[in-house]
Amino acid sequence: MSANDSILDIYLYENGQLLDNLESLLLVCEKSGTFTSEQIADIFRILHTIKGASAMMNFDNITGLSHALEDLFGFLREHKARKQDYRKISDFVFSSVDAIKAEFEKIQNTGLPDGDLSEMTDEVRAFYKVLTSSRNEPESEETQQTVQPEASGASGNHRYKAHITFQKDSKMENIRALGIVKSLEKFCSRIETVPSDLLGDHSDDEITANGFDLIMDSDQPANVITSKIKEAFFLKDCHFEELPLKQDDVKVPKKEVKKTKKEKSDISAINAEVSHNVKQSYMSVNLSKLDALMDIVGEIVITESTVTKNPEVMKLGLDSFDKASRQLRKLTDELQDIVMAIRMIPVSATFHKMERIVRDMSNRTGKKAELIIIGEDTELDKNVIDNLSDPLMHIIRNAMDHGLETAEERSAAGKDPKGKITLEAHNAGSDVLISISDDGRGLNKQALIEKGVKKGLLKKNPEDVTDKEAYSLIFAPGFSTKEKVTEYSGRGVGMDVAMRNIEKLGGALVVDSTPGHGMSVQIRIPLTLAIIEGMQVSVGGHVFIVPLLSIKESFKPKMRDITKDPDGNEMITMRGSCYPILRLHQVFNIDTDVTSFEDGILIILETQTLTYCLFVDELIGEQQTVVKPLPVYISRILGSSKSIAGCTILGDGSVSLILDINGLMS
Amino acid sequence: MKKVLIVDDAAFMRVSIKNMLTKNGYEVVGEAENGKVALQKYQDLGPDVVTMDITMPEMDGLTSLKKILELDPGANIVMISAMGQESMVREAVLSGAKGFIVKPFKEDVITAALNNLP
Repeated sequence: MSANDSILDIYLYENGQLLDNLESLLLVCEKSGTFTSEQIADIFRILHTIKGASAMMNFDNITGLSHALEDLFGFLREHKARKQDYRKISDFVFSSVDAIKAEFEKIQNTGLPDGDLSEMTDEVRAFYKVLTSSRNEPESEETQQTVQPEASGASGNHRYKAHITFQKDSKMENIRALGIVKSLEKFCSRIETVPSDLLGDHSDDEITANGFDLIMDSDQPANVITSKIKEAFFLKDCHFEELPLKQDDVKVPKKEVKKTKKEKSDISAINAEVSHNVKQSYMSVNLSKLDALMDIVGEIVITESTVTKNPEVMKLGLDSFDKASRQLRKLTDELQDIVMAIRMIPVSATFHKMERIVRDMSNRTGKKAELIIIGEDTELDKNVIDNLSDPLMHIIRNAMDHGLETAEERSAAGKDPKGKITLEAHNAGSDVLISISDDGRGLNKQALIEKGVKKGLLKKNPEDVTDKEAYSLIFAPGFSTKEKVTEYSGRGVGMDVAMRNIEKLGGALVVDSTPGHGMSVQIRIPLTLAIIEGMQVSVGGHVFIVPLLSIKESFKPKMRDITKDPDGNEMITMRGSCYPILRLHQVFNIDTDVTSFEDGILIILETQTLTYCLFVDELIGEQQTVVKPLPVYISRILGSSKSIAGCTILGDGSVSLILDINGLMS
Repeated sequence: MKKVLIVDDAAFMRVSIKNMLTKNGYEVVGEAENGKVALQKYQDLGPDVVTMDITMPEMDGLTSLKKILELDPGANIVMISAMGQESMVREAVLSGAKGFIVKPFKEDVITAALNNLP
């Protein structure tokens, strides 16, 4: 990565974070209905930083927009605005945040931020003009001040004159001139400048155009003075000469320097309500580095098995080797735990992003709603979280658009006119459960079924359709019960995309509803990268992995124990119990010579709901396996038959499928 | 090689300045994200030059400038300002900042400025 690449990454990351902070801050202000001076100062500082960085990167459109907003908030630091103005102001900021985020996306996709933000910038500037014109002159910085050197004791016996110009575009040249005067103070008993007031309104322009003159009385030799002058930055020319001195020219003036009005610098911590953005001792890590780390740790786990379970080594029966292997195993376990933990981040940032969605939808649909967040500290893998916000967005938009009734309808139904959307996350074993529920009108089963029939999506008889099946129709592609397609939903695009995205994460979606009371969507997402203990089995030369936890025992069956039940399914009787038999070669239609029970192995598998026997050719051995999800194109083919839980790479590099023993039997 | 302490609350600016200065023969001995940390690091690292942003949380550049000069009146502190910060820059200059540069700036500008320091 070249130095330039990393600068861009830092620019995008840091300023992206700042935009998020800005958004959160603004939501807090809107909620409370006021902008405190602390909040204004924080908003100002964020805009100032974004402007500065964007200017350094030559992203002129972003610089212009953030500059306009910065000036607006700079004004608000000193002056209060009317309540209705604040409303307009926060709309400006929100639109700008969106516009700048869009530009960042373009940059992220190796494009250029070439969006035309001039209209928005002009609007902000026009508004700023209105705000400032309805006031007196914005506070002038300080009363005029002239700097006079303090009396230096001895009167100087030289008079020098210097005509000084600065380089083009060095900026604030009057202050540079002031700096030079200050640096000469201790050498001179008297200093005069032309223009005489370096801090006057037009002194900057005057000096830029004509340079400035210094007339100094000093007892120092010329070179002391000139070398001091040359310490100034961005000097272009210094024309220096000594002037003849007249006796009565020498004065020892005593003028005090007027005190400047101290500029208020509200440097303050961000409001505690925005605590999920508080700086903690974290560092940002490039995600691809973490991905690489995860992959390597997975490979280490596999390779560790290959080494320690090497048949030839095991034959040697070396005690010291076994001891070392166990230690190695302990360390790799710890390593994989830590690596997984690194990638886990809390859902809070993603959940709080939804506040903005609720706010926007609230404004556009005219329905008041509040978002309640529970369990925001629940953690999920970073990959999963990144892919979760789109589905959540669709579901919440749908809830606000269709689920929630208008305030009048709600009051008529005896509900609080303000709708409630609850976003909740919690851990459930090796999964995370996320639910989005609203207290709206709920789903209309009949309407859903009718639409399903009309669209040809219903395969069953309408009377046989259960509630859950009817509700899950809303996730079918091309489905929408609303006659009117709104801007945000109803096009049948959002919800089915949401469903697919969840499935891509290995998750599952369930919808429930109570008519009149609301709807809830439950999402179950597995924590990725599971490493399981597995038993390798083979059928017709193909290797499968069976989760070791589920295996009760394995044995070579005797033909006399095999029977058939009334439906013709094979069963085995063992120690007084009867278990159904599943032939693995039949499940996957694999050709194998091992079709007779005496030639193969039966494995007794225990699931939550039943116990059955799996018939395979042979057992190969135990193997620690890193579970990788199936590629999407394969899981599509498998469709609803959930016989495969994932896949893994064996020590020899071949791919092996991991059986889902629950799904196999169904 | 002149030793530099870079003070700015934006990581982006710190990295940008670091790159520019390192390419031009300076050694960046430390970074600080606010004036308070700058004060501490100045004492710990004893740099030859400090680049000081003005607007920072906790302690701004102006306050930090004054505090560092209290400890070391000869400190070479260069303010990094934005347009519109005239009064703060003025106060900085009057308080003893060796000079200032205005954002946005290119590599040659900041290099010329620092090279000019005694």
